[in-house]
Parts: sequence; C-alpha cells; structure tokens
Amino acid sequence: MSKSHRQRVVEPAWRRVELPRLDVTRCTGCGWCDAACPTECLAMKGSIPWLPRPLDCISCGLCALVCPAEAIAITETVS
Amino acid sequence: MQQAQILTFGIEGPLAQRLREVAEARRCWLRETSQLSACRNLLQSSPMSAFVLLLRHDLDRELALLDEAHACLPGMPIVAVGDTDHPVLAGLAWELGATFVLFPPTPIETISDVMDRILSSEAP
Amino acid sequence: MALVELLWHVHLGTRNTMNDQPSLDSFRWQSFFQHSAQPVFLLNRRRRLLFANRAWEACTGLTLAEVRGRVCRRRSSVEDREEAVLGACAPPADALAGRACQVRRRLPGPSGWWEIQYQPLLSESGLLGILGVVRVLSAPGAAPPPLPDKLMALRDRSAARYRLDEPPEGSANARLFEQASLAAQTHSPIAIVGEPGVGKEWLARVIHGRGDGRQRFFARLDADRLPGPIVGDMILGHPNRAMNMGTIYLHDPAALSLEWQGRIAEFASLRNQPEAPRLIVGFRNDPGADVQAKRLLEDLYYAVSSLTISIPPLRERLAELPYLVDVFLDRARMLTGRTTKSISSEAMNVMRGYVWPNNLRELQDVILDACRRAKGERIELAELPFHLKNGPLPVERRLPLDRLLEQVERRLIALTLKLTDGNQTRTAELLEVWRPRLLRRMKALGLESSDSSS
Repeated sequence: MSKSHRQRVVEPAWRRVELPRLDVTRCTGCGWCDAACPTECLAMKGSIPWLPRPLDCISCGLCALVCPAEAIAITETVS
Repeated sequence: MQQAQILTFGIEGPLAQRLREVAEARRCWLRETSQLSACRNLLQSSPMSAFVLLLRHDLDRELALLDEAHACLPGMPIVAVGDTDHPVLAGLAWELGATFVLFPPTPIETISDVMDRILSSEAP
Repeated sequence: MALVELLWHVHLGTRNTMNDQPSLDSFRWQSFFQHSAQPVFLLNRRRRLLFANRAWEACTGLTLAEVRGRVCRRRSSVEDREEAVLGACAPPADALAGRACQVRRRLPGPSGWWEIQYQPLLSESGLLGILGVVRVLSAPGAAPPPLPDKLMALRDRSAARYRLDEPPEGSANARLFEQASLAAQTHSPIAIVGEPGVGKEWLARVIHGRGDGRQRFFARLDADRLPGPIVGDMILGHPNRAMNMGTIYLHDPAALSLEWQGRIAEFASLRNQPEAPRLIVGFRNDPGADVQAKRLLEDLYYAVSSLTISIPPLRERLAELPYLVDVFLDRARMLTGRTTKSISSEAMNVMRGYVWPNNLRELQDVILDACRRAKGERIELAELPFHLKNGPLPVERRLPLDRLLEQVERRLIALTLKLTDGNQTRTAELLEVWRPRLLRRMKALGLESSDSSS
C-alpha cells in the first residue's frame, strides 16, 4: 500500500454526542463556559457563546455545570 | 447554541471532497444536501457559517434560492459554483448576493482558501 | 478482474492489435473505452502516454500513434499543438503521489477548457499508472447562451428591494437620500463610512440602482473573505468586463495587502474609464485610524473619498426602529414560515435603550431569533436575549472543584460506556486509562458495571 493512502483516525464516540443548548434569554455573557471548556470548542461572539469547533465537543457538560445563569443545558442521553 | 456549520446544495465530486477536508480541518459540521426542501429547512432552522450551492441543474430555483438566502440572511457567506464559463450567469450570481462566485476558469482549488478565510472571519 | 489488471490488458491489447492478434478479453475492454464519448487516456508511472481513446483523438486533433510513449509534462513555453496537448494531460503532483484529484487546463484551439479527473492506479510496489478522464468544459468563441427573461426578471425583483424613497424632510434619511442621489449621478469612486452592520452595502446597492450603470451587474467584494488576487482581478482585470459589471462595492479594503491596496488606489485615481466598473468602498469605523495604524494605504483612502457618505449608527436613528422591526419581522416570516406579526411595547422600549453595536445586522438577527422562539404572534420581552435587557445578574456561583470534576468524570465514563455498548475494555481504551482504574472509578461513582469485558 502506498504511503499516500490516508489513514483515517476513527472517532466513533464524539461525533454523536449531544451538543450544549443555550437559552439566550438567560445568558448574561459572563464567558465562564468559554473559560471552563476543556477542548476549547466554545468561544464568545460578543456577549453570546457559540461553538466554532463543534466536532471538538466531547459533551463533558462542564459549560452547563459552571454557568451561573443556568443558561446552558446538556442532556444525559446520547443521540 | 449556534454551531459552525457549512451547508452545501448540489455539490459533488472533488469540490465536495475539498469542502469535507476544510470542515474536518476546521472541526465544524458539513451538511450536504441535494434536495431543495431539505436545504430550505436547514437554512431556516439554524445559522450557517457558509452556504455553497451549485448553479447548474435548475437555474430558476437555484438562483431564487441564492436571492432569498441573501435577502433573509444577509450576513451569511454564500459561494455560488458553476461548471461552465458563463460570464452573464456569474455576474448575476454576484449581484444576487454571492460572497464568491466560482466559475471556470477560476480553479476549484481556490475554494479551500476562500472557505478558510470565511470561517476565520467568523471564528478566528 | 481488478482494475489494475484490466488496464494492463488494455495496454497489451493495444500492442496485440499491432500484430492483428487481439485477445478476446482485451479487445472487449479496449472497445469499451473506445465507445466512451468522454476522452480517456492512460499514463504509466513515468507519465508516458500508453493509451488514448477515439474521443481523445477527436478532441485533440492528434492520433494515438503520433504521441504514444511521449511524456506528458507541463512546459513553460509551448512550441506546437502536440506539446500543448501533452502538457495539458500532465498529471499533477497529487496524482503522482497516488491521490485522486482534478485539474482544469486550457487548451489551444476549439477544445477550450478541460476538466481532467486523475485516478492513480496502485500496485503493491507503488504507482502503476494514472487514468485520466476528461470533461470538455467550453469552447472559446462559442458565446454562452444569454439568460432567459425569467432569470433577468428575478434580477429586477431583487434589485427592487434596494430603493430609498424620498423620506420626510429633516429626517436622518433625508441627508442620506440627497447624498445617494448625488452619488448616483457621477461615475467617480465613493467612500461609505459606518459601523459594522449599519447598511453600507445596502446604500451601495441603492446608489447602483439609481445610476446609469444599473443595467449592468453589481458585486460586493469582502476584502477579508476573498484572497487579494481574486479581489484585484475582479476590480482591475478582465472578468468584470466579461461579466458586464457596473458597480463593485469593496468592503473593508484595510484587510487587503498594501500591495493590492496600492494597485486599486491607482485604478481608482484614473478617470475616463466608462467601461470599467464604478468603485464604492465601504470603511468600517474610522478610516483615519486605520491609516495611522498603517493598515490602510492613505493613497487608497484619498483616491476614493472625494465623495464620502457617513451612515449614522442605529442608536442615533431610533425613530426608524419600528419601521425596521416591521421589515425584519417580514423577512423572518418569509424565512421561517412563522406568523409572528408584532412586538410588545415593553420589548420595543428595551430595544430603544440598547446600544446595538452591530446595528441593523444585529437587530435583524435578534428579530429572527426571537421569531423562532416566540410562542404567540407577538414577541414578548421574555423572548429577547438577556444582554439587551440589562437585567439583574445572577448571584455569585460557587464552583466546588471536587464535585464538578466528579460530575464530569461520571458523565464521560457513562457516555463512553453507552457508545461502546458497555464494552469496558474499549471504554478504557477510548478514555486512555487502565481498565482496573476504570472499574474502580465506576464503582466509586456508582455507575452500573456491565459484565461485558471483551
């Protein structure tokens, strides 16, 4: 097999997890979720967090746990 | 929560492969459709980081979609792709609101650089 | 039969026909390619042409006999048609490295443009050969068919959106109206200055629509989204003539390299170019500051700013807010199909008090979002984003470290177990921990332990 044959790293788990859901009517824009995110998949766009790298989300739920306004929800079930 | 995602309509072959590589490198979703209704649903339901559509099979609908997408979602970058050297069609695509019009003789490799810039300007 | 072998047979078949002794298999496969309407060619790993079908011969005006065995490589200068064709068939580096790829090449003569798909053929010891399949894109000299009336009508409907009706005397729009009308009467470059999302492109389209160039096309070029050469080519080069481009709106030229800014400045300084598109340049924030910071070339700014229109931010145009909300509600209904018709007076008051750093673009996003969330036909205060409302902030939250870490750990283990269908060995692998440790933690966290352990 030629060396150029691309090796695909299989990531079975994380593509199928639930992404965090945001309630903008509660979000104060404090940015704690961004600071807490271990994979840096989350960032602030002005006052609102968003996911510029959603494929990096591992659904750890830390963003939801640290949010002081309880504006982020992440369910337990895996879709 | 808004997520970085690229929507394509009618894009196949090497161009689709390039877009897959860009999405993977940028760690964002790639939603590929060839059904008009599915495409509309996606445009309606969540913000897209970029919309790439092919102008070839049904110009009436494809151009109307381009026009509507730009009118209702003016911040969304739109890339219109054609496969024949047709300056008038390209001009129309620019006017209806495309951020970038990729027609021959512009090489398709250009799309990687353009998509990179588009995604960087949203998520540095 | 594997593709590799079939193609060797094609190669052998080609040789055998010279002896008038084709084997039955190779003859069938060769005629398969010969019947293809698409030009097809085959190279060996040294880029020598082994085979080309009749469609290729018809397209190139060459016969296989003339060019068989010749090397297909790119040449900087081309002496004759044969070399031009062989150069056009040359496989790119990706193909030589064994990766399928596609290129576009221009050919002299009637063939115009080729789009060639290269499929490398690999054997156990490496690259065996490369198959090229050609799609002929266009023939120069054949003018593309004009667009049907229906499509040009679509264009007219779209252009009708960008109108600036005569506003009431003294309103903020009155000055804009005057300036836009004046700008539409000239062909010289214009600068539009305003905060992000304030409507610079909209005004540029209004000016285009009122001017003589309105029969030609309009294009917006985002300097931060497009590579410099693309922007430069559109403004300075031939494509805009071919497309019959009437106006080009260049947004945020400070994002271009200083070299490209210089070239555009030169172009903008030239007068008497009726064929060239008219340039409108949009500047974000303060162009003077960008010049000081050396992001923006002073020459470019001066070349385009003899006529400058400033668009005030939304917070200075709050009288227009109800009208704008209606327009955006309309668009939101068109996009989402929902029936949200209005906005409560409380919500409107809050919107009046907000600073709107991203102006109309932000207002449109807020309305669209609230529309999706609205339960009834009216957008209520509760449905607006928190940061508009300046409400009371939640009390300080404690973050008990151990408890948080434990919850994250529990969640990750539970998720991984679900995704591996309870396979503890695989779970430990994915989480990159020793299996005994995983089992200990599962017990400590009260997670169900499955018996599956393969």
